[in-house]
Amino acid sequence: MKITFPHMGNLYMIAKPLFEELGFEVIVPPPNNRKTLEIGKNYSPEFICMPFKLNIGNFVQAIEMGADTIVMFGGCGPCRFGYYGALQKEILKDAGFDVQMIVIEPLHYGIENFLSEAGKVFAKKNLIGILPKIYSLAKMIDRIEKRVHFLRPREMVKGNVDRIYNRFRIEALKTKGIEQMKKLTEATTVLLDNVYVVDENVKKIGIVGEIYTIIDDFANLNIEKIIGDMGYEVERNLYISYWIDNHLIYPLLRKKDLVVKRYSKDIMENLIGGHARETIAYAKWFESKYFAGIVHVFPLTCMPEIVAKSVLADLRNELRVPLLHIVVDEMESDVGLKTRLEAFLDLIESRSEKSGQAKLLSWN
Amino acid sequence: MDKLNCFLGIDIGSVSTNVVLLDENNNIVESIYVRTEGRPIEVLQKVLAQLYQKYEERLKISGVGATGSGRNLAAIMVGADTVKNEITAHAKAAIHFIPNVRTVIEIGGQDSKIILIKNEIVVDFAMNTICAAGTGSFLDRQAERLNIPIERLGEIAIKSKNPVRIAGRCAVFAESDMIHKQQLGHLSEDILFGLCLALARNYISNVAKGKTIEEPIIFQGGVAANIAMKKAFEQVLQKEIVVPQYFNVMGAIGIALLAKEKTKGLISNFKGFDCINNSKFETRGFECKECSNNCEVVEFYNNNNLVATWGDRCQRYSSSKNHHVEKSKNL
Repeated sequence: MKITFPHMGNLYMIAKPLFEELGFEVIVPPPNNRKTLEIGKNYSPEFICMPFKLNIGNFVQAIEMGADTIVMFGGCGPCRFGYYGALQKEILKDAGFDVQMIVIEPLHYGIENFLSEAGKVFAKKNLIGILPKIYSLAKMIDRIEKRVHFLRPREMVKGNVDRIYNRFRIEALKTKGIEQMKKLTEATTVLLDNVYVVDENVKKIGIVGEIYTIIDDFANLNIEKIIGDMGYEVERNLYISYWIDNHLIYPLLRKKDLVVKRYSKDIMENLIGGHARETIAYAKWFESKYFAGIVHVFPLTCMPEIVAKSVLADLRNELRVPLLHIVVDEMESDVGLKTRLEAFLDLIESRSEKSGQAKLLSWN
Repeated sequence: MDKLNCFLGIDIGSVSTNVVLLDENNNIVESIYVRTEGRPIEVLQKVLAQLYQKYEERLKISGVGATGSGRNLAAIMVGADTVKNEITAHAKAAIHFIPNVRTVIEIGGQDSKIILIKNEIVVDFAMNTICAAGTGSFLDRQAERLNIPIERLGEIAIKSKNPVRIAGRCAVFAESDMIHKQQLGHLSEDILFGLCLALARNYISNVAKGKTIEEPIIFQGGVAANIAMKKAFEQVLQKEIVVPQYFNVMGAIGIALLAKEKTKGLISNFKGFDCINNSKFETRGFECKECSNNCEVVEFYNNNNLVATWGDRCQRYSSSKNHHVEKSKNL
């Protein structure tokens, strides 16, 4: 079996060593680019969201490279992602690609379902030895990303951090197995720790929104780098390890994300699919942590995030922090995005300059 | 002969290129509004040549600013002191003319925006997302289809007594709806004012969604030339709307004011009219094959010297020019 999987930011750094450790040959599709999206668009329904199109593009490109099995995660709740796996299976079949598709549903859909699908990949392997290692690797990789966000606005020589990070992302493709990936991650951490930092009061911008579009830098036109280069630290609510925690580990432990539990109370108590609740809760959480602004990113036609957007609009008078909504689609230019972000950061600056006048911080 | 000490503001938009000259007392000496017609470099050179012919050596430029979607291009061409987005520039100009302004409605060629201001500070803004239904280009196209010069669209539409209801949510649907209404024999003026009303409604329910629109409201951007759009907004909002005298060059005025603040009239990076007019500017693009990102890299040449690069994600090309070092606030 030659296994492939869709891209989502740095997900490949975890998925690749995992499958290698399980003894499969892994084919990583080329990173998301315009060609991926172009291919995806050809096969997808017109009004489906961009992550779906990118997934299809990844699959087709990987199949061309020789992959014969696709591993895909299923969804949670009524968001369309729930049937992406099934839909993509049919689309690929119709298009004449001979490929096996394994769709793994999250645990709270019942353990039998999970085991029957996951068993196709994980059977007869010593998972107990592998999974904790993968989990700690995921944590380490996310820590690198957080460190990059921290360093970008603060580094003395501009561009060093991005050079290290780009190299890390390219080298990750050349590693094999968990051990090698872990070594690369450790080496990168050391490199990042040695970046000279200008100690400066840097304002923080929180990023919330739909998981794929905030994690994948192609999908969001590299919004974190743009904000970082403009001199602001970025923090987002969703990372890959958070997804593992929230969908695989917390259900097992019957635990809930405390931030979500506390801050979405009275606003959105039920799951409406996707990460709408997380978006709202973390927007409030970022505000409570004195972030300077919040950017809400989601793909066009994303139902849960549209609901979250309306809820946030209603919360405007309560949330005393500027909020910017960015809708991403098949845009190919980042000029419009830069204009909006620049104006947003100008707004933050002018507000904080006059923040002595406390009343100005309210919306109306 | 007295020197005329001025600040130059350049706003290169998708549809129009606007240039203003502001004197030291913020009076508008010159305001030029021309169509970009997809050739920003040539048009900007031509406009600057006009200015130079008119004033010759008498004109001294103490600061230059560039804004609009072509701001990076313009900034490199003329040597701008400040490069800012059009939202900040428009807000600056609006506050300059009406200090107590609360709401700015700005509709340009491709973008429409709302800017909320309180005590001379921008407190919130929004821009159209993804689609450009309800912007200048769409009106332009419809006027063209009805064989009406865009400048006359407003005066014809405002005669309407019985506007037709048009579905304005999406430009494509609006157009087919309009054609349908035309075939039913409605008057042009009724259809055109119906279109203006549809755009106004669309703006209120999309761009301005969730925002409290308070007076004084100022309406600027190229579309503000259309008196029927002003009337449509007043009808939909039930509020009075002010169209300032220089509505179509507000972005350029704003950026000139910002350039003045930035340079304080001391040292400007301005390259000089002679230099700009005698330079040959050229844009070349290629697809980078170094990695599988396949970025579309754009290179900008001045007299065959590479002066700027855009579009590469890894900064393989642009970092050699140290753009990000210049932009960094650490240095």
